[in-house]
Amino acid sequence: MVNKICLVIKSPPYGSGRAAEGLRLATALIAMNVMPHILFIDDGVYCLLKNQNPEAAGLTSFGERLKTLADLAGIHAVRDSVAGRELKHSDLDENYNVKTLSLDETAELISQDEAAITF
Amino acid sequence: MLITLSKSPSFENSDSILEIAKRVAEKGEKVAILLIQDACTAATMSDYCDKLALNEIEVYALKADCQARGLTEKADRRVKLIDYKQWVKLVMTEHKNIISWTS
Repeated sequence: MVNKICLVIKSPPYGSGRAAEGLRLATALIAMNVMPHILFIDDGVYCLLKNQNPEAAGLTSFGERLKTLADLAGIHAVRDSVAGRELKHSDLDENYNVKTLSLDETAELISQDEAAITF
Repeated sequence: MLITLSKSPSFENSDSILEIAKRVAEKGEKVAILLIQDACTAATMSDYCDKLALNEIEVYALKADCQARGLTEKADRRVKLIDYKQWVKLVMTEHKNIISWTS
């Protein structure tokens, strides 16, 4: 069984269920005593913005799940993906305590895992 | 590290994972890209293959998916066309980590 897994979220929130699916899988893995790396890259970094109100569009927020996952597993985001979208670290929700990584650091993180699954 | 791509480069930008692949390869780890489904179109793009070759990243494409799209004869000579058995071998014996980069 693969025990070292990186969940890579590259889809923006709410337009599809992909990001939420990835986070649900993260929860399931933790319940099975597998602590995943959680990495946001490309448009996935939009999931981490503060002041999100999905309920305004009739959607269910995954903010609480993300906060719990941040506490349990930690949240990483690729710095170039954040900057490339004219976002700053201060635009990210401080509740998630996001650690931003350079591409070199990202390569190092992802190399530690036996499998990476993208959402 | 084996990275599987399934979308055409013109449909989905894969620059981030290719940058990561480049950095992993620079550290001396064996890195390969496997093109399946619509990503097989990249096998015909010499610029795409040049960039990967420059970084010593091997490129494979699933032969059945290339055949399905009429791309077999047009594939860059550096792209190795493989069958399903060879895909399993790549995953099970040749690479210690597997990345499925799909949307």
